[in-house]
Amino acid sequence: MSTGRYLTLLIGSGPSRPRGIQGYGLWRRYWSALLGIHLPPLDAPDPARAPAPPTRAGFVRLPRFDRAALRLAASGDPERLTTGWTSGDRAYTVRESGPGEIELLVHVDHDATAELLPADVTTDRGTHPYLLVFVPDDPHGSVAALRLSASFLDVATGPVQPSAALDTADPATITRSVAATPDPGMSGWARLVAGRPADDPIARVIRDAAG
Amino acid sequence: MPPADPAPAADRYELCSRLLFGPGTWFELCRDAAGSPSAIAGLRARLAPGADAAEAFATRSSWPGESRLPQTPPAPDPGSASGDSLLLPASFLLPGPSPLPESSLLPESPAPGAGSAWSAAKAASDVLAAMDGGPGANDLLRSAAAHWRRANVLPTLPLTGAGIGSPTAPIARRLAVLTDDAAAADRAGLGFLAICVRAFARDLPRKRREAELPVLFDRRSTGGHGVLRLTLLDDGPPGLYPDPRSMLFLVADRRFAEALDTAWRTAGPRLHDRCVIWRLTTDGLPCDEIAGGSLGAAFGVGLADLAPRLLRARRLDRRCAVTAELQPDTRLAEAGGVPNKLEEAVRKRWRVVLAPARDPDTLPEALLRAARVRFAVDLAAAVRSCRTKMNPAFVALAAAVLLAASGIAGGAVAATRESRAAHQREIAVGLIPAAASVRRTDPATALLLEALAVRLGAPGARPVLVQSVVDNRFAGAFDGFAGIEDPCGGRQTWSPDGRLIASIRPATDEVRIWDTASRSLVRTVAMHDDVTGCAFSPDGLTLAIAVGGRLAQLPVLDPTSQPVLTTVEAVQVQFAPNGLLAAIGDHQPLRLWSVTGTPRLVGSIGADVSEGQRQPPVAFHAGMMAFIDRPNVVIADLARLRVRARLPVSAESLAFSPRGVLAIGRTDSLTELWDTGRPPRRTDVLRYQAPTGYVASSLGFGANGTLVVASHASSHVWQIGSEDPRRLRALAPVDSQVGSADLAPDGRTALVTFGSRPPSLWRVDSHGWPRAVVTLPGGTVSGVRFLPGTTQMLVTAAGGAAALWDVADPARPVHLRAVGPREGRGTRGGSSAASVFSGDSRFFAAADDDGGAGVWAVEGLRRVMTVPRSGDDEVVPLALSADGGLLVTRNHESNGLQQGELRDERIHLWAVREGTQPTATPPAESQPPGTTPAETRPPGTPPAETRPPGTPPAESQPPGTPPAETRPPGTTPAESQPPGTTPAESRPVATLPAVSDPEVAFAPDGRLVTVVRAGTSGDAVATWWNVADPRRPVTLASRRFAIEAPGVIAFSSDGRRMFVTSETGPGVSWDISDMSDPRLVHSQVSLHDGQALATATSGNTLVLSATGAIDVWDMTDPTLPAEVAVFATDDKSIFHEHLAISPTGLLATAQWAEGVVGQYTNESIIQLRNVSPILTAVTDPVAAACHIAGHDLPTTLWQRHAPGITPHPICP
Repeated sequence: MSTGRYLTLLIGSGPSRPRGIQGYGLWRRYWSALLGIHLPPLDAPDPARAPAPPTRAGFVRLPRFDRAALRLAASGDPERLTTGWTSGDRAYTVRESGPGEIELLVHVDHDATAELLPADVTTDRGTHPYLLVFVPDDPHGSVAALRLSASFLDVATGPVQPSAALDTADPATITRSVAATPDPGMSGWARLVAGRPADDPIARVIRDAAG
Repeated sequence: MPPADPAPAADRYELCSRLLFGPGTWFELCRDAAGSPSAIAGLRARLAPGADAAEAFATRSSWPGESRLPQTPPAPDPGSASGDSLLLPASFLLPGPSPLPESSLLPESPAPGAGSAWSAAKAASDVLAAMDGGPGANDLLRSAAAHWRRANVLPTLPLTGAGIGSPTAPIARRLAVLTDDAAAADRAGLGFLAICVRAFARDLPRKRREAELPVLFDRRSTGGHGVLRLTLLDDGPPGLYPDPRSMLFLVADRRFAEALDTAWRTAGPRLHDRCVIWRLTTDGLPCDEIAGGSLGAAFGVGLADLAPRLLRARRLDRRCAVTAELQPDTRLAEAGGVPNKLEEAVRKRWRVVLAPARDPDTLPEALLRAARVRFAVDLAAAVRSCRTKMNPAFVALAAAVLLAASGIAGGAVAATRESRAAHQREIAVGLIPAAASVRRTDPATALLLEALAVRLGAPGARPVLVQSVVDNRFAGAFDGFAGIEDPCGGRQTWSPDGRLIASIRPATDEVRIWDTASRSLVRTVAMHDDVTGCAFSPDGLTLAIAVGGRLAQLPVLDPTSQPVLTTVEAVQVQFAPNGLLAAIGDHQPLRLWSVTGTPRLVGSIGADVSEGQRQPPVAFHAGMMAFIDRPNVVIADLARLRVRARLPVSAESLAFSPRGVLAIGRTDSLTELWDTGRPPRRTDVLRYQAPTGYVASSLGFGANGTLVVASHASSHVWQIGSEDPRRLRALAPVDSQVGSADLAPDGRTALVTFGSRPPSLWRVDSHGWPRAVVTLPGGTVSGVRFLPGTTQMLVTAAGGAAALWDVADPARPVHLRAVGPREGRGTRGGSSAASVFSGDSRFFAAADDDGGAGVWAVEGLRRVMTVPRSGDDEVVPLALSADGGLLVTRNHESNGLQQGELRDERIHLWAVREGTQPTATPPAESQPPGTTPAETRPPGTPPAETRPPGTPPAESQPPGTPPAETRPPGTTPAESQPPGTTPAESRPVATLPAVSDPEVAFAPDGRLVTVVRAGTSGDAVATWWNVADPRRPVTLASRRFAIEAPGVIAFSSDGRRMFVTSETGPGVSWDISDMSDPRLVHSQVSLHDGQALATATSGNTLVLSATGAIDVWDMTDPTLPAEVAVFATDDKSIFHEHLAISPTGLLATAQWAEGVVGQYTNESIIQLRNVSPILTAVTDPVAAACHIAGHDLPTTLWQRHAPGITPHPICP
């Protein structure tokens, strides 16, 4: 081990600062640097202690997407982490999308622009319900997306609902869902707004949530 | 252009993430394309509507502060786009952002409906295109600058210049022109373009310093975290810019831009002409969107940390986040989303610095406590709060550096010391041989070199030096003698007391007088004419000087006196013992003058008395004189001046012995000895002949019948007497040519002159063989002791006799008092048992003639206690405690033993009480736990089981006690006691276990008794008893050790070391400083010869008496005893058991008075010797060597014999 790398590991400085240095005392840094052991990052939440998303009838629960765990499992600088699953006609894509962000994409092979996909999403900040709106993706399909700030993601999607279900939706859920929708998905919310009266409270909630 | 089949959403999202965050970011693509027009065109094509990059960037198209709900796109305005063919995809035409500040150079908002990511990518490609030059370059640059101005990632402070390096000179010039023409608010954008250009050109300035601090975000429903890193670059456009390598796509709101502006304005003036870039990341990924001004304080803190400082003992705490808005007056204002941020900080285990809350109640106390929140009112306070108490890295590095420096310095110092020590050892080891090599030419230097070896720690140097000092006969040189300067010659060179010598310095016609102790010049007397002779008068008051052929007399004691010239003709002078002055002329008769008062001629004799070369040609003895009247030596009667005999000897020098033997030094260097009886006859010839041509230049008789003869080549000491003359040794074994050797009046020291060296003093005898100063009658001596604090010596003898002597003048002891038979000389043929003395020497105990023992007080020599004989057993005193209060005796069965048979002897402890009636002290009723039971039976009382039945108790009729009826009528038992004594108690206070032939001694503290008994197989057992309570002696320790026939026991004066001599071989020394664990220190204290009979210690010197010799050991290092001296008596009086050393270094020894016959009669003599030179040499050999040399080691000798060592004084 070169002296420079040793010092880098020891004091956690330099451009190639290793993971897992911050938060540890100098003594543990010293030993880990000396032995070449990477300390696990202290800020990584313990997924085992995070609550699992509640599963209701008809819900599909995806395997946990854990950025920290995936990073630790990676041997080098990771590629952008992406996992995908297919359940029925739905293709789920969960991926890192930016600083501290995880994106959830749900693709169906039919026009689902008139549908809402409810999802219970558990992150390190708790479990919250979301509504995903579909927008046309390719000539024959639709896609719905969420972009969340989280370290890990537990997703359980339920059966699709018609867009009319928005009437009974919790406004907080709508606000949360609009805020978590990436820009291309906003056209779906715009369409829902356009299909509602001008003074419709749901439409106002959506507009307010869109900024 | 109709869009091609769009990529699946997942691919678009993925590509967008790659282009924004890597790997393969848009920045990297631009950097790789820089300088390649085709590549640049390819990149720009990917931004065309429907192209992959455009589609991907569409997933992140929001501008902060704008509604993200898409609206109906406006009609495309071709004029709004730049000159190229880029068209925005219709689906990405979002509502326009908020109006830009006034911009002079950017009249049109570039791509007002474009998404933020696409816009950033296009701006970057515009910069690339502008770097290639061309007619639309300025517009491209303006368009690019407009994006980042619109992105709110630049301060609005008017920055100056767009400094850019030479590799990109064309674009630099272009940017400079644009900057000059731009409004103040636009210059920052152009400065950022300069950074981008250098980044694309891989020419980003080098990093000078960096600051990093955590930041907290409010992500609406939750908190977020990130890291802000600011980097101070070596050069570049002054200002605060995002790092183009990662912050290319960042968009922010207006408040963020204002926060940046405030942070840059409040940064120290030292940064204002510097280029600082920053990046904001979360989990290593650059942020692409940010809003709000809560990072203002973080930027301010980071910039403050970047400012140059001399010392950085404290750095920013990487686990402390500050979140507050920074105001232009550097005060902090509360930021929004604090609860979410605090929750995030708690999750991250960070501490937080906040601006004082306007409503403190809104923040949960638990959260504040968990986040360890500290409030800061302004930027300076925030900086202080964000810093570590001590920079751990700094401390660690400082400690490491200090440790390394200490190690290196310590190592260097240790290496230097080791090297120096090794050099010193090497030098020191070589000094001993060097001393040996120079001893014959320069004995003083030899001593000093050995002293230096001791100082430098040469192994074994100390014993060598001690031996040299003890054996040395060189007593110092008169280094002040200058040029040709000779002593007067003959014995009368010396003053009668030996303190002065006189010399003649012909070159200056001076007589000089020297002190022999310090070998320094006392007085110089100018004579103003040729000085040819001088001599001290017998009374030492006058120095007779032959000057200009006449006699002058100089009063010596008056330092201001001047010589008085007389009319007496004299070339050489010599005083007779009766005070007459012999004046020797040049081939004239010898004239004798009375020089008391006016000189008066007494008479003359001879016809042609030759003047001697070195010594006056005349010698005197009693009423006789001898002088050289060539070719004869004339012996004449001094009173009548009548010739008694003429000896046909061609003489050069003459000397009379104290017994009247005339020694004649011949011109052929032989020496004849003549009996001056009638008629004179030659008795011997000393057959040592110098080389041809040398004469026997001087003669002198020393003490103890030795004769010193000096020729012009050498000097020797001869032993003359009844036997044939025997040459003992060279007087001054040096290589220099000896001129003469003038003996001091005491005959012990000679002033030896050399050919070219200053004269020096040499002892006829060495210190290592001290001669007896005086011999005293001793009688049947049983002990000898010097009384501390006095000059008195006590000699005890058999039968309780004692004699007290005052030895203040060892040569003339005064007999003070005596008690006992034969006036203190003891009973003839009495007991040979040794007396024992108390530590303070106030009491002694001795066996009496009745088989008992007594204790005497030295003061008044009165008996204070009597221990009667116990039946058939004689009572032998073994030891007396330090204060004389406790006596240890043994019962010696004298009858019924076969020769060589040993029988266990009981050891009793007796309380000695002076002047008090005896009180029955019962023996211990019970033995303390853990102690060895001490017998409590009365002395002489056999064990009960051995007592025949019906035998009355012993005490009722002690065996050997005469029956009452045999007592003289009218006497009482008490009257049988010596007058003035106190009878002993009927029983001893305690009895120790019986052993055979024990040796017992009290330690100096008086509370420790050591009993050593011989084993059966070449070993012995030493047992230490604590007798602080005499009635209950307690065993402290017992050790078996190897020794052949243990002899006497002695203690060092401090009581920490104990010596046990051996009668046949090595003795041993014990370290008894810890009485619970006595340790055998050394077992090699061996006697020179034979049996150790007695010991005495003085300081670190152990003196042992062996049969026929005295052994002196240096015990300074108890593990390495060194034998200092071994000497015997000069006659047949053999040393035996008793000796003592006075504090002044006087050794008193008892010796058999009649040779071997004394061993049967016990008659002894006492001799005194001065061994203080030996003790002095042992105590401080270096000081003794320096005293002999008379000076310290000169620098020249340091350089010659100890090169590389800084000269320093070695003499105390």
